[in-house]
Amino acid sequence: MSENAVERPPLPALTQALVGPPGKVLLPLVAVAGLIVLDYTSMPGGGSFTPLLAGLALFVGTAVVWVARFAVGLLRSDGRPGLRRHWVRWAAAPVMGVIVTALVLTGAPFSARFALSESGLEQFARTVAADTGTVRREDQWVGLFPLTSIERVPGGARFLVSDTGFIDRYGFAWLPGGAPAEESHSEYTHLEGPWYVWESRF
Amino acid sequence: MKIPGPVGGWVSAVAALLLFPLFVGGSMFWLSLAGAQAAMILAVTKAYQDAARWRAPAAERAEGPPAAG
Repeated sequence: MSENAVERPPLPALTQALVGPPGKVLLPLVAVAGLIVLDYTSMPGGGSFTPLLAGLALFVGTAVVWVARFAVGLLRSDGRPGLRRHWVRWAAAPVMGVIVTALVLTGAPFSARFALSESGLEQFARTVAADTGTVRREDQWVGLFPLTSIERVPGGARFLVSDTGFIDRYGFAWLPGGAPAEESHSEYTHLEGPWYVWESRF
Repeated sequence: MKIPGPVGGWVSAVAALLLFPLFVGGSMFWLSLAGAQAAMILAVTKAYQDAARWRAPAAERAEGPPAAG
């Protein structure tokens, strides 16, 4: 070992990170941004707006960093071997982006969340529909949805999902007899079977 | 072309340009984004230059001291 190698100060961590493949920081941040977007789109009418903005900001930031690191690595002769050697880590972020985009475009997050919650929601809706009391039900989680404004309606039950929509609010209606007549501040969109997405307009 | 300044300075410029639209509104978003992307490219290029110099100090010394000025 030469004396010079010992004296040489270490390469700063930031410099090391920028010349290396995406790793412990960038990839988890991309995953978090993707999960925020998937969570938003898994709610009827879209989830809470603030986390979505944070997720999109995170996405833009990580994209700026990834694109610059990839482009410079590709253009430099001392960067290309690293791209080839760590191609899986380089591919991970765009692959995550493509998967999230595909899931969002196909509506898979909402379908999956509803399917996983459907039996619990139906059991709960039957209980609410059979309830003859006038006691207001507390907000509660049923399946994977936080429910609020739970109420019995003629022919079934309906409930809003907390923190949905930007101005209007969204939830579900369980109406085995079909959608009710038009209401001034409500709209029902058929989902499947007795289920409707209930839009409570501002 | 040798990029001046430290890598951290360029990365700070990227962060500032990404946060800039929060304070001035969305009208400057695309301009700030383009600026942030350019600054990030400079930061990464600078990091590669620093890393290349760090990897080959012996080779640099073999070339002799840098010319004055």
